[in-house]
Amino acid sequence: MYTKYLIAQTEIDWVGKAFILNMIEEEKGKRMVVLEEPMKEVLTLKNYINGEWVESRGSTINVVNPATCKVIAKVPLSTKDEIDSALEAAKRVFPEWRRTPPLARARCLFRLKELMEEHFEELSRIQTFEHGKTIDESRGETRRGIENVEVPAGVPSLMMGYNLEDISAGIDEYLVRQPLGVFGIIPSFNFPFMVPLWYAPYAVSTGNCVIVKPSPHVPISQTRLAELVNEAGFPPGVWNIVQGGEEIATHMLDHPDIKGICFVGSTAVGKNVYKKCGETGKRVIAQCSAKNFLLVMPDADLGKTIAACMTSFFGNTGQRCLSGANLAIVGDGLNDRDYDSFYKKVVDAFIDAASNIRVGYGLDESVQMGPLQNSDRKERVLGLIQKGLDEGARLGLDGRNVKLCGDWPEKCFLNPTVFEEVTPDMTIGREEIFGPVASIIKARGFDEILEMISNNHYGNAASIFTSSGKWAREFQYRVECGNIGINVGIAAPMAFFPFSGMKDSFFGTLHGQGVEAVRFFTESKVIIQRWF
Amino acid sequence: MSSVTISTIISFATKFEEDSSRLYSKLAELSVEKKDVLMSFAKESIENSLFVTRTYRETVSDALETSFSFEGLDLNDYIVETTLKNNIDYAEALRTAINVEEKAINFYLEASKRSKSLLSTIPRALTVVAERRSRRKLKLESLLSQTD
Repeated sequence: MYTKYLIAQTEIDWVGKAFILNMIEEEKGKRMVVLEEPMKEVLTLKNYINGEWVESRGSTINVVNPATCKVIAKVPLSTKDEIDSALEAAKRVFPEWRRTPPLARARCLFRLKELMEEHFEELSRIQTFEHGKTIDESRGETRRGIENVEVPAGVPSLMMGYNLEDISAGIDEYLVRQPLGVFGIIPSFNFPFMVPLWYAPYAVSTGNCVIVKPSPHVPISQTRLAELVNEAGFPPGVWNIVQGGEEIATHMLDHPDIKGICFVGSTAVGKNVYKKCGETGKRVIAQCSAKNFLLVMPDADLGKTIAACMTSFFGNTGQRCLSGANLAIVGDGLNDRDYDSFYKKVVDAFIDAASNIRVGYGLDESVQMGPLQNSDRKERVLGLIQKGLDEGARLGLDGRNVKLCGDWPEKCFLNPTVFEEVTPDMTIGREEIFGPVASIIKARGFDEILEMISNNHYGNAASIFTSSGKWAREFQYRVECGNIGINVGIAAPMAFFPFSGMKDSFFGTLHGQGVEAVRFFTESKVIIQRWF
Repeated sequence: MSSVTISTIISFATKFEEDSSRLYSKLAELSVEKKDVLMSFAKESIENSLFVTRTYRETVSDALETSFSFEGLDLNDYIVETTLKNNIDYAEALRTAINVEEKAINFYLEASKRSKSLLSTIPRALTVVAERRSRRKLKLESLLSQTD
């Protein structure tokens, strides 16, 4: 178990000087403080099956810290047998777990929440360590993960059914919610800690069992979480982790004994997940790619809008399905001259702010943007930037000239990039980039931009920045996206609301988080009763 | 224009409180009569540190402007000497402490003002600490007047 290699939790005082690895004097005389890394040795991760840490028989691949390019762990590509073994364990414990009173199941979550709070800083640093995001972003992710343990801890209330007396003479009718069995969770790489928690706590609180297959690029967060799950006292087999790649994911999709799949990833894969789940009669939540528009109206508060846009476009290095992608500067009601002036004002402020973003290692507290998660992703983004140029867009800010705070290998880094003169038919205006690239689109009218959004095949999120209630209401009413921001750059639903999505951004019916997740993980059984 | 992340702000605040706590522990050694009140300041600084850290951790969100909310705030403006010189007399030590409090109050009020776009608990926590520090400054001024 790799816990022993982590810094003993009692020593962790994230603000303490003990955690300052080095202080590097920068050219400008500013100090860069890099927090201590959470792991000291390269470990081979294990599977967590039936409450035991089991070595996989599969081959291993390297897990690499994208900021330092150092190998930080080895993760096995587990075999189908190992998934089967986790599934057998989960099926075995299911009858007992579903009979455990909801309050007792909830208490496991209470204990897990306490452990997560206790290990808050360590969990956050692991995310930065394996993913590259900034420490602020990682702490935010940890908090969102904890919130998704807090909400289903209310399962005794959330899982309640309802009833009605005397639906006919002396006959009563009532509904109960029952768990289904074993669910598979196949999360994305971009939120290694939080994404599985959109589902797993809801599944187990309602009496189901889970098998989580973390992304092989970022498997450490879920491994550490499983150690806390173990400590929290969940019965063996209720919560399992099997490391691996596509092969075991496909096996999970095909397996008739898995009752449902929760997937987060690309639309291409999500569509296949949805199809395969349909073929085997599984429930499915597939949250997929996005191309999110942010509208800046002429009456927007520009200062606050730009700050929100920086987080939206460049937070998490643009690697989130809620990231801003297209910045539409809307000139509704303006004449040509006023629109040109408004457009220039917004673009200048946007580029100025983006060019000042400090890029570097996420464990440096002063850094505002980390690297892409791996070099392949950077290459993909570079390819799309080139495509943007080839198709006629103009670079207002070229992030390919990498400038870093600190002496880190540039392999996975890009600086913020801003395209102007983008049209919605261009590849960069249409398809997900998943990197720190903003595409600025001119839109003279409100209706024109709504039509552009409508014509885009994704429908994950959209935001409007305005002081007008009328525009805000029209926007939220008409726009075909699942998560809407009004003067909010990242429309991320809290744990007690569903994480929505439409069109090619979501496949399924019920969403993760909140009451919808409780419904997803339970079957509604209706009883009609009469006593003679 | 310089930008400061909230993580840096919280680290700065915590360091400020730790240094302040050490200052008051040392100051308490200079006055047997006022030891209790000065030690209570040392303890309060540790509580401030925990309070600010806890508030941050409980409200930080990846979706808010945590990395972009303190535009233009220069932490160099709030750096102050918190160690007492050897053989310093009690009155001079009180003046040093009052100076520290002034800097701290300004820091917390400015950081609070600039963090309005974050969840309300963060600016509120920073304001609460500024208020505690203001009360402490008044008390220190009163102690200083008693030395004249």
